[in-house]
Amino acid sequence: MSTNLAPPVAAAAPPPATITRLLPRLKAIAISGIACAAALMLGGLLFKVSGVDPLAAYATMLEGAFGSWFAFAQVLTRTVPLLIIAVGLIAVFRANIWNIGAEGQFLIGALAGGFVAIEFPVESGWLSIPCAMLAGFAAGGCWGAIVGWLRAKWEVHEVITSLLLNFIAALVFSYLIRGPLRDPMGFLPQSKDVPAFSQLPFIPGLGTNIGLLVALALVALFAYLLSATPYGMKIRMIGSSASVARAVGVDPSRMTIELMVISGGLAGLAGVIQVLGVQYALLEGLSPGFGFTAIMVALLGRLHPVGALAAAVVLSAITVGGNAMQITHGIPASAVATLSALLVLFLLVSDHLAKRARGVEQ
Amino acid sequence: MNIDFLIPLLSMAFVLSIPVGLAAVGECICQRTGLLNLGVEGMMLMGALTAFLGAFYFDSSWIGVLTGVAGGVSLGILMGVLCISIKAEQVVSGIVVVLLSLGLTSYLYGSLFHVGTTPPRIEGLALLHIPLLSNIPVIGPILFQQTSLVYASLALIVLLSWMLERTSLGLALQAVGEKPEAGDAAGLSVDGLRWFGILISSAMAGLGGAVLIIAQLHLFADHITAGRGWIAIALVIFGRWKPLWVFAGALLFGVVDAIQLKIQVVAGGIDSAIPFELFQALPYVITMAVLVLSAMRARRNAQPSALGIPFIKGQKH
Amino acid sequence: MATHQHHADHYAVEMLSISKRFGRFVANKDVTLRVRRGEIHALLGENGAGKSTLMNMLYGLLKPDSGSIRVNGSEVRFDSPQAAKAAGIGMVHQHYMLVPTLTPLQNIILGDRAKFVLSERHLEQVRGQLKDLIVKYGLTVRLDVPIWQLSVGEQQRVEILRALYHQSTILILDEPTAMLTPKEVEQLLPRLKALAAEGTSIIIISHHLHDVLTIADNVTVLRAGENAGTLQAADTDARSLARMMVGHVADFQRPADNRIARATSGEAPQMRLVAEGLSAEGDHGQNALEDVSFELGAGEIVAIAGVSGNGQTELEEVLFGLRESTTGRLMLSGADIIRTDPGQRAKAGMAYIPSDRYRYGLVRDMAVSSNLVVDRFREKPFAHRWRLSLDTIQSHARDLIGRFAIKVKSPQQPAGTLSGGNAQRVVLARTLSRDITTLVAAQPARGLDVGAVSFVWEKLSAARDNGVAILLISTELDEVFALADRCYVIYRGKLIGHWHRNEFDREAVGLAMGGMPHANQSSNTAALGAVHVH
Repeated sequence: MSTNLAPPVAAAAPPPATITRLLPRLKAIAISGIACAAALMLGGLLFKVSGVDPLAAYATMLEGAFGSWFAFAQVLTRTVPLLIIAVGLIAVFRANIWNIGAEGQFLIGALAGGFVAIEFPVESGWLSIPCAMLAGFAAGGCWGAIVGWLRAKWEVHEVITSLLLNFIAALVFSYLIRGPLRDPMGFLPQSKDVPAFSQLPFIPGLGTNIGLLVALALVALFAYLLSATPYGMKIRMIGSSASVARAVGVDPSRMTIELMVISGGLAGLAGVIQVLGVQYALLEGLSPGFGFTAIMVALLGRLHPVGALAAAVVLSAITVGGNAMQITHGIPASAVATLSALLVLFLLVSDHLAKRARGVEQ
Repeated sequence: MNIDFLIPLLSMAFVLSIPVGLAAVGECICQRTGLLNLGVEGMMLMGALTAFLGAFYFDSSWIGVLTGVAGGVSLGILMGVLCISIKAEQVVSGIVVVLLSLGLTSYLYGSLFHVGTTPPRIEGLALLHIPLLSNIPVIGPILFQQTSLVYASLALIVLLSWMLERTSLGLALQAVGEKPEAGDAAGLSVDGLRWFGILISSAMAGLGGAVLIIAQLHLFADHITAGRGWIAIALVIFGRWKPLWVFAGALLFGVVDAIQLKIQVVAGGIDSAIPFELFQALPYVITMAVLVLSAMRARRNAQPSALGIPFIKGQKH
Repeated sequence: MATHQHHADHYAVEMLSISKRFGRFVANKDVTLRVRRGEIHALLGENGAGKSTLMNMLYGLLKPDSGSIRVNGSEVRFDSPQAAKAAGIGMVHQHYMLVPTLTPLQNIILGDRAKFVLSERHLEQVRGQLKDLIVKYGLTVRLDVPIWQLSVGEQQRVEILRALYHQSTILILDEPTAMLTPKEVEQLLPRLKALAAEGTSIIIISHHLHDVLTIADNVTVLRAGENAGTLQAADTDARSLARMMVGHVADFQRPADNRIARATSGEAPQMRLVAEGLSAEGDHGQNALEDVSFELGAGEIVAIAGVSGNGQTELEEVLFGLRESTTGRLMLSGADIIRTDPGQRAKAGMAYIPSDRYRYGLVRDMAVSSNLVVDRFREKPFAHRWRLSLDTIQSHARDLIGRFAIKVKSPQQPAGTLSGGNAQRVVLARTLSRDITTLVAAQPARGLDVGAVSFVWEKLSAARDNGVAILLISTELDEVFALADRCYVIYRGKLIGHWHRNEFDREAVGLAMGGMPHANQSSNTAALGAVHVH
């Protein structure tokens, strides 16, 4: 199995002319554009079927996402967890490891990080926030490592294990906030609030917390890691051919576990940021399916961190806009999930059709 | 533990095993052709919704069964186009199908029934007591006092298992999963047989979803299949790609599921000291354990060699 | 019409003025081939001469651009192998088209739509028919044992049996002797004669001159897609056929024999790689390697000859650290490395040319430039701390592409798009451009054309002359005799027989490859053989 969605392996040095290098990129972008248009049309048809004018619906969506600074801040806030998870997923997907357990890793990370932040003994954000993030990363990483270890050790299919662990994580989360971690004073089953000193500060003027900076830094870091470091080369190598990797001394088993720790850890980190920067408590519905949406972000971004940045903004925008659509036109919120899945589907199809067309040319 | 407790438990276990068993046996056939269908969860969920809609609007369980199968097959066709026609990556295709189904079922249900009030319900099926057999002590109440849908499902599972092992079609299905180029050379249509596999698998998953709704739950909710499709895939590995063993695994799942439901009821509600999430997690934990155990005893020999690899004529692998 | 009728009496197959192009490449040009009933006709030619293309057209896998095909006198246009089969044409592929998990019986009835339900009665009936054929042609086959448990020879008999069961009167055999032991070849040939005597026409695709001459009635030689002539086997000999095949007699001139010179001067070679009692299991848990011992010194090429499937793959994997051995030691320059991984072995100076280029050698999706450094991209000068030095990787690639004459559009071309010869050049370039002391080369020239073969051989000889110790695992005796200073034979996972260059004898080594070490060969165990080095 190869990562068909992956972009052609990065060239090792600047080719003679910039045009030849840009052309395939432009082509890829054009194909994505066509796929997006097709998905939007099909989505529109769905709206039409449920009796809503598609153009009006999309207009509301656009207005709802970009119509005001407040709305745009919401889009950015939503982009953060998606992007952080997706960056980690890109690293594992490139290695041909299909972690679909980010949802569970997110919750486990949120639990650990949230617990640290809530119970932190010293009243200092400079100490508590990094500690909480570290705890969240570690917990999510451990949750991911189970999947990696099972695949490395006994070739247990990671898709199934990571998915099953999602259910287990959700139940663990649910149990803890109803039981041991429940705020005895609270009315709803949720934890105590994160103390103010541990809450993530806002970026002045943007209306969103500093998680956005963390996410952007991770995009840059992983773009560099994947294309210009020996570790990135190892990732691409085990993704294309684990047997060759093994033959030249790269240990795919170890890489599998490491990458699952990274991917799970980043999902956990996203969970912590959601608790410390947005919800300020551990509560039911902490993740409206971030782990799954992030898979779509990674795929739509063509397994490239910068692509994922664009995809995360787009998907966040249609979610935030989707809320407006729900209020104005009564379209269920799940329309957004459908639309996102259609986007990925059409991209998958168009990519393969384009690949086939190339094959015929040759 | 006394027998009066055991009989309803096992009877319930039997019913609970049918939806996941149907999906798992279908998936087993599909994997034997070399196609890894990771979209089962989505197909089951779609089948559950369309079965509910069919039964609700036509007021007939059997129409519900048909629409359930059709719902599953609609996603099976999508999966087939992705994996067989355009040779897309099978794992990605499966994940996309599940994600699409999660969104679409919720969207359709949400736009048809405005949520907030009590969810609409459908009529269940009457129990069918098989003459004589249902009077056998212990076994009778467990096996022979079920709905007709359960009997039909069982017959289907046995039929498919027989088809795989004892007919030329079954032989052909096995061949293209093991060595497609040899099947191709023998005049078999690899793509055609894989289409057959995915259609069977999606129909069975849709039927599984339908049975879940019509024979058990009588209502629909978002993601009501709750991972049964994924458990079905795990059971295929557990059953070492042999349909009857796969179904045996489903029975085991049914027992675990029945036990956790019973304990929840017996241990009693929200206020109980025993956390019910623990029991709800039981089927998933046991499935994980079973998956690991089957993987530990060298599964490579049982797995179809060409599983997950698209077949492109004239290309060596 | 009358003449057609006349032909029908004579020819089972007539391929007349057949041409076929793939893009700009001319695979067949105006080729005519006629095969009589009951005739064994050999189709001879180098790799890429167009033999397979021609036969694929007869078998319905390809359609000719021009020309016509007649079977038993009537013109045919096959658009699928099924159409060809219906016309009585059966094909035995070089890589057998059998499903390993199914039995011969199941494989034979595969694709048969006549009966949907495979009842015991139906199966018994088929079994009876097959047994009759088995007896009639002496094609011993166990019908109810899964294919993977059968020897290569028995699998081939299953293929022939299948063709006969489907009432083929025209049999195409693609390289029928390539995978067989000499003994199995000896058994096969009379059976083919018997089939021909019963009226079956047989076309053998081969490049083994000897087999062709012993069995065929007529020989057609293809060269560069054209018919270079059709001869009666009785009227020709190996040398003239070889000349027709290549246009000239290509002989690899072995460079001056330093090793033997040094050995006679009494200089003891420095031992590089010593295996002591290595055993390993195969993929199905069978004993694939048993008690393998050998010694390999600096500046010599030691060959492990043998028919494929006798443990070469497992040996290769054990030596490179990709398969665990159950017993034994492996000493590299005096240190036991049997528990080390491939990376550690590479650091210790060992390198490796895998028999399966894409399994262990090249990453298809990655650029040629990346493939040229996959074994060292973490080291200087290709990486500085955490950063890849892309410029260095690029200039390194350009350098090697030039030195090893690799034909690529650019260093960024993915390795998966290279031809077999160029792919092997990439592997060679990577392996030999590193500072190595010991090289394990498995089938280094497999599937390459003549020019590429001599290139590979020259490079290996040059490395040997520079003091590299080379273990050559090869199924081609020509290659072994051209390159090796000493050779062992591997048979069913054991090393049997050991010869020095001056004792090389085609017949003796050939017999050993078939499991029969020559009776009067004194050093017929590996352990004893190793002593001869000193």
